[in-house]
Amino acid sequence: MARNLAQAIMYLFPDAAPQIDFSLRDDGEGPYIDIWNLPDPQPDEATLAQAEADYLAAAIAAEQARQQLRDQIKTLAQSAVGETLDNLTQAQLKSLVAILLWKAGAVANDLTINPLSDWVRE
Amino acid sequence: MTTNHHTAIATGAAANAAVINSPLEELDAAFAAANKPQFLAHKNGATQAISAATDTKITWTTEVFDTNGYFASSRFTPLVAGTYQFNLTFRTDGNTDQSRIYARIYKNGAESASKVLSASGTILQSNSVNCIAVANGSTDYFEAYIYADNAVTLNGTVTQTYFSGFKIAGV
Repeated sequence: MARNLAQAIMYLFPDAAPQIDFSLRDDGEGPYIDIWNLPDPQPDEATLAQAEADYLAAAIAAEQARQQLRDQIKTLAQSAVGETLDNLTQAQLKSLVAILLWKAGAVANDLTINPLSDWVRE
Repeated sequence: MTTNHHTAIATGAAANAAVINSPLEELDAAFAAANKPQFLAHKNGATQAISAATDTKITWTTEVFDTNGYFASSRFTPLVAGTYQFNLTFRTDGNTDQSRIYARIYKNGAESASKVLSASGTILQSNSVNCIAVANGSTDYFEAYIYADNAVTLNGTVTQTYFSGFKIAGV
């Protein structure tokens, strides 16, 4: 099982850039911090382990929130099936647009809209 | 070698056989030794989990050949001084779109050669790097490393992930 050491560091220092502010290495006995260039002191193992657990918990919570939102949108869109356009509620319209955006590759993993250049043909 | 050849020509019939055979044998021997030591290793199907943003040593489970026994613990330490060529090829699965994947050859624990690709989509990716390096024949050692922005799985297919090296010239 790969360790999430990089994510743990990024969780503690969101602006840190891998390979610039820090470098990690694994010579066969697990990853470790090879180079530390941030002005902050290098975190100890206990801090890193806690950050790794916090990162994983936050990632799971974010994925659950995304899944919940997806389910809500799908349910709303499903409720629009069979309705005429002028009878659609704002919420139904929004959900239908959201689904079309997803299909077009316009929505990033964090639910923000990707740059138009990524999904709109010139 | 040239002196021996001419000497054989000058010493009669018995030596004539040597004129024909000796240089050929010498050539054979020279060819046989020319590119040794050499090794080829693979993972024999075993996958390897690679942590995100971590230079990770690739472990090799199987040696196809290791002419002089200098490959051990996924490390090649040739005890013959010379110039060597190394080739590393691997496949990664579980990629993240636009994630960078580096193939790296290390000499004595530091990067000697590196090649990067940017993953296109999440389908499998293949990367390779070749390099020529000098080995002192005593302490110099060489290893294969991988780095990926996001966690990936190194595929262990014998024909898709392998590490090799051989001597191309003496010092």
